[in-house]
Amino acid sequence: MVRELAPAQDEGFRGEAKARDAALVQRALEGDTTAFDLLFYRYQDRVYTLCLGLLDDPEDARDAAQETFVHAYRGLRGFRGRAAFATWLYRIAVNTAHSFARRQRREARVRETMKMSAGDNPVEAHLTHLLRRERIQAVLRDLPPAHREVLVLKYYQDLSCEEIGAVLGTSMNAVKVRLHRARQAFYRRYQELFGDEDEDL
Amino acid sequence: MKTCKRTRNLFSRLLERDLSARARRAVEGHLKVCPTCREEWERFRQTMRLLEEPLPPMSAPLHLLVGVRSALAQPPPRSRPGPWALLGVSLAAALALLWMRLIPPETALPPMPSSLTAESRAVDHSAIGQFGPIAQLPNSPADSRSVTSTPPLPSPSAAPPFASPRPRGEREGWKGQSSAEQSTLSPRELAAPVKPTPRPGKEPVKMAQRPPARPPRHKPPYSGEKRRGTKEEGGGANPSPARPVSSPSAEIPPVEPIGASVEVVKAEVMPATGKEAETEADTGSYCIVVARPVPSYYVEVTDPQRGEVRRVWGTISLDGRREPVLEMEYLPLTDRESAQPERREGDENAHWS
Repeated sequence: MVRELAPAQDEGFRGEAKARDAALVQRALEGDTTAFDLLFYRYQDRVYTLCLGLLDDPEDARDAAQETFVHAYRGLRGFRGRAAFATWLYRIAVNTAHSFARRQRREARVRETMKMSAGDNPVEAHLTHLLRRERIQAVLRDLPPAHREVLVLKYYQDLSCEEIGAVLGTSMNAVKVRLHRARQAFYRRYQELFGDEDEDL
Repeated sequence: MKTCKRTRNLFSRLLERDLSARARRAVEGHLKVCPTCREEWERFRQTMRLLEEPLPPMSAPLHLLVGVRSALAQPPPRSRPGPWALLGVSLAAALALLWMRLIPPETALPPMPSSLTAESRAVDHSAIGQFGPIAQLPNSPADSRSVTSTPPLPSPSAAPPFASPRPRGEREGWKGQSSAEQSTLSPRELAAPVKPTPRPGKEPVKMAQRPPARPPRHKPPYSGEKRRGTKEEGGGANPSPARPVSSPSAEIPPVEPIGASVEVVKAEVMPATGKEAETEADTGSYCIVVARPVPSYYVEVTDPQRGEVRRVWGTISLDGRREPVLEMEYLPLTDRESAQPERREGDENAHWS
């Protein structure tokens, strides 16, 4: 039997994967905790990546991901199965990450940019890539949460507008509008921060 | 000027082809005649390409599940008691009484024990496969068999509690057990990342509860490649006198695995060097604890015969996909006495996906 370690990005929101998740939820509700473990393994990387996209700090992202699964387990009875489990879980993750972000702001914590030890790898292309990533993170950090979350869900979770709408509890059209605004905002902020020095990238 | 501003505001829609034909013509017409906007449009597209760059594949940190389980083992946080707390408490108590009379208590999910933590791996084997009252409900043939064949096990809470999530980077603590506890390991295993065996005291209970176990499996020797995990684990050197595992000894109680209890009947893990690993060596009664890509892929398995947790390192074939896959066949331990490999196909519990 071939078991997939990490599901493909778009998996879980529809079709067979959606039904499989629903079956696992049912098993978890019947007391089979292995089923919840399986759901955990299926989604841990994606939930973590999502939290990291919304929070920057890997430690915070880890805590937020952990809290997401704790909330999910405790609230499993509240999952009605109308939406995909992935949608429901993402919604919890987005909300949890937001509460972490609020806490971050309240504590006025100095966030370090992810140090990716660029010095370890002298390959220029790699450095450039790292630099680009850091810039993207810096710009995302400055965006309002509503813009940031649609961009992260769209570009780093590869969700469609419809799926983003399901996660955020809004319509597909509202997501489209928000995405357009977020792109424009991203562009403006990027140009403000790095517009002058962008030639080399 | 006004047209320039309007045009720039439509860049995202233009990029996503989310414009009416008329609006698109207008924007494109303006871009033809306005070099500034054209330059701006080019820059906009470049910036958006940055966003479209895929992220490097990221894995959740190790032991995230351990943290989740620890948090779940704690009671859920309650809101701070306010001035109305007393009234609220008495009201709640009254309601709870009423509720308990009306509805059976099984309607809540069981608290999840932190049974995947290192400590509980070693200690709380009674909690295995028994996460709470609901887990005992015969919801599958395999489960019901495992429940009915054994007398009631002590509740998971009887084990030393695992109070809080382990601080990061504290895995070395796993090898801090007394040497006497690891004396059942051969020199070969002592070189491997060895986790503590069950502490004495719990085991007699365990043995009494266990149905007659089959003789311990004999592990064929490993090719050295697969032991690369030792470096990561700090060697696990232990000065205790070792006894060959190959002698089936009655005093080594079989230890039930934890977590997703599975029996590995076929595990193909390719070592990083490309040399093929011994498939046979990985078969046995295992519990998959971790099986995911970090940063070279490994499978962490519990050997219930020795109570040992060790890692099988290697790269996992990509199978033409972006996501790595691990080829592995297994079946639940609850079925291990009776199930034949052919039966695995139909067994839902045997499959993770």
